[in-house]
Amino acid sequence: MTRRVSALFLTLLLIGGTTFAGGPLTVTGPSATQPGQAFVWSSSVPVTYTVDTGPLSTNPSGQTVIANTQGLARVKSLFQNWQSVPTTSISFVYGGPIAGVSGGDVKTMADFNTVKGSCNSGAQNPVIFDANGSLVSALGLDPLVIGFTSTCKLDGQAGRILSALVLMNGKFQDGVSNPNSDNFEISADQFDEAITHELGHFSGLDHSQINLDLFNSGAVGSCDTDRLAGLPLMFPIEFCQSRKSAGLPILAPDDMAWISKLYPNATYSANYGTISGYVLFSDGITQAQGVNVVARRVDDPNTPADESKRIAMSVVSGFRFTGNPGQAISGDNTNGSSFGSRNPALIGYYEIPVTPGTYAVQIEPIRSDFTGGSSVGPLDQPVQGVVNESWHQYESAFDDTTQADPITVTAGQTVSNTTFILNGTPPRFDIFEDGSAFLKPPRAPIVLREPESIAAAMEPA
Amino acid sequence: MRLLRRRRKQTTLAKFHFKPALFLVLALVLFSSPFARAQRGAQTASADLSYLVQRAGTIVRGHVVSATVEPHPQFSNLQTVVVTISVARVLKGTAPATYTFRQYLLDARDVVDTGGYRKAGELLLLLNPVSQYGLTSPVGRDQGRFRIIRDRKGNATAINGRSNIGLFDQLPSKAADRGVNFSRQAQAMLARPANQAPLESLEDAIATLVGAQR
Repeated sequence: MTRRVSALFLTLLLIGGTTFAGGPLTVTGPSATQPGQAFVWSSSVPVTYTVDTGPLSTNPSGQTVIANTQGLARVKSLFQNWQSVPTTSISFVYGGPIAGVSGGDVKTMADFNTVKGSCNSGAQNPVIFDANGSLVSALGLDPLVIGFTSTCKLDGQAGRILSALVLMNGKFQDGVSNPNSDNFEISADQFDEAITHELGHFSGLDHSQINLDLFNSGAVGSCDTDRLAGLPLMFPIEFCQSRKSAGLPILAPDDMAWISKLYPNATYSANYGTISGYVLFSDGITQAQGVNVVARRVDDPNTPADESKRIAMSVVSGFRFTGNPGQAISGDNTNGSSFGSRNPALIGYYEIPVTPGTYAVQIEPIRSDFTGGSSVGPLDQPVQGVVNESWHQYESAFDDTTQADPITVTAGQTVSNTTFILNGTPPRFDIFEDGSAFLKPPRAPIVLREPESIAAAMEPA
Repeated sequence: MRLLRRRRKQTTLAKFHFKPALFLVLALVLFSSPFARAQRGAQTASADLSYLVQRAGTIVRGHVVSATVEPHPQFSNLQTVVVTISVARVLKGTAPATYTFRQYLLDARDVVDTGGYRKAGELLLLLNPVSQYGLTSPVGRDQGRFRIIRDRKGNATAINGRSNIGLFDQLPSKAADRGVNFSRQAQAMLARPANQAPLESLEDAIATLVGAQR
């Protein structure tokens, strides 16, 4: 009975949707040459984008607020935010006006349909200026939509993003703030950050969860500098003041680490190392997917800044495994998602790119409401019941979750087997059946720290 | 030592084994996983309940009967999901007992999972007015799509894709300025943290806001 319920438990854990990860947005599926690899653009040539020739923003009277020249310059600078990371090879190049519509100005649904068609065929990667929000409205969306990215075409076998589209809603920059007439306004910095976030998805990045306590504190628009510095631009929800207004670069260390990991250039290995391992259930054997793993730089007491908040990188366990392996019961999900590896050895695996230094590695659940469009990691519905825990060398299901052993990583080095055993998860095996499974050691050795007298006292009479 | 370790682990696991309450809690969390989820790929500004209600053309609660991906009939390059809801309650606008709407799918990956709409999922949807091209979507994306969670006692709560964050911010004072009077039940809900609002109270507040809009 227990085994049956556990199987159901696991099935429910794994029923998700398409595979995402706190790192790459999508990974290749079983039909790929190499399943479980991030979908990325080819880095052998720059990603060429075309841009709308109309104004970026017009006001309700139809007057231009942000002209095309300014809009184009802005788009270039937003792509540059990602391209200028020194350890990445991804690059973007302006390829001229959008092709296929009169004058390159996308104004109507027919225009949008034409341009989307050419994107679907892989012919261009258009950046559309919806100057007054009319396209957003025509698409049945609402004035709250600042912008969106659409992946148009993927090569599932090679794991390549072949084309994508970006739409920027210029109504947010028209100088009019009147929610009663469905017209919202945000600052230029906030708008740029929102679109740069979208360009992160355009590049193949998923959301990341770091410094969640800042979000949980309700510090809307007034975030402290240390935690804001470490808060990824790819955090699911924008809630702080703009990074620029706080004197911070637009990208956080996690953003830079992951764009470099997906698109490493020749200097990557001289600037990054890797921490990897597994997350296991309390049995120390079964791998657990969907647990957020964060590597935090150990604070340097000689600086006024708190490096443990500022320098942190993360990923979600099982980020290379599918979030939806499928089931035949409902009749509409037999083979599950076409994304994500089916190799069970990857269910609890994680690896985090880190800059050289000394780190404390921690696990935590993904916030329960980070679902759907706000999801982080491979599971659309986050796993709950995970206790926050720091890694230490004597990991077990009964350890002190606050004890942290530092891990020092040098450039080009991979520190592997940094494996967690979750505390307090339900049993995975029927204890009345063959118990041999319990005798298998996990990938990292378990050493019980308590004196034997205590352990002996815990034995049944 | 190894035997000792084994026994100790078995003891602890057995302890969990005989704690059905703990397992039940975890199972409930999992069973409560909705069948619906929002689309990805869009950045949206936050709005409170008052705006979501004001903006919505139709507000319905019901179960997803079907969700089918198909191209837009007029614009064939645009993929859409056609969602049919078995309507239990209409809070704004008009909707038949079986209500169907068409939503544009932003991303190629949404095609794989029908935009997150799954059969049998119970939802409270605040839908934008249907555009001239027959398209609509929840107001504010994740914000206007509430999944309904029912516990063993039948108590229902509603939570949107942002965990209701910001949903009730300053709502009582803003409503009071407009002369909107919420019921005691709704006032009690508005005074508490917004995450997982009681469905009955939320619908009561929505009905009040709809009434004030007329």
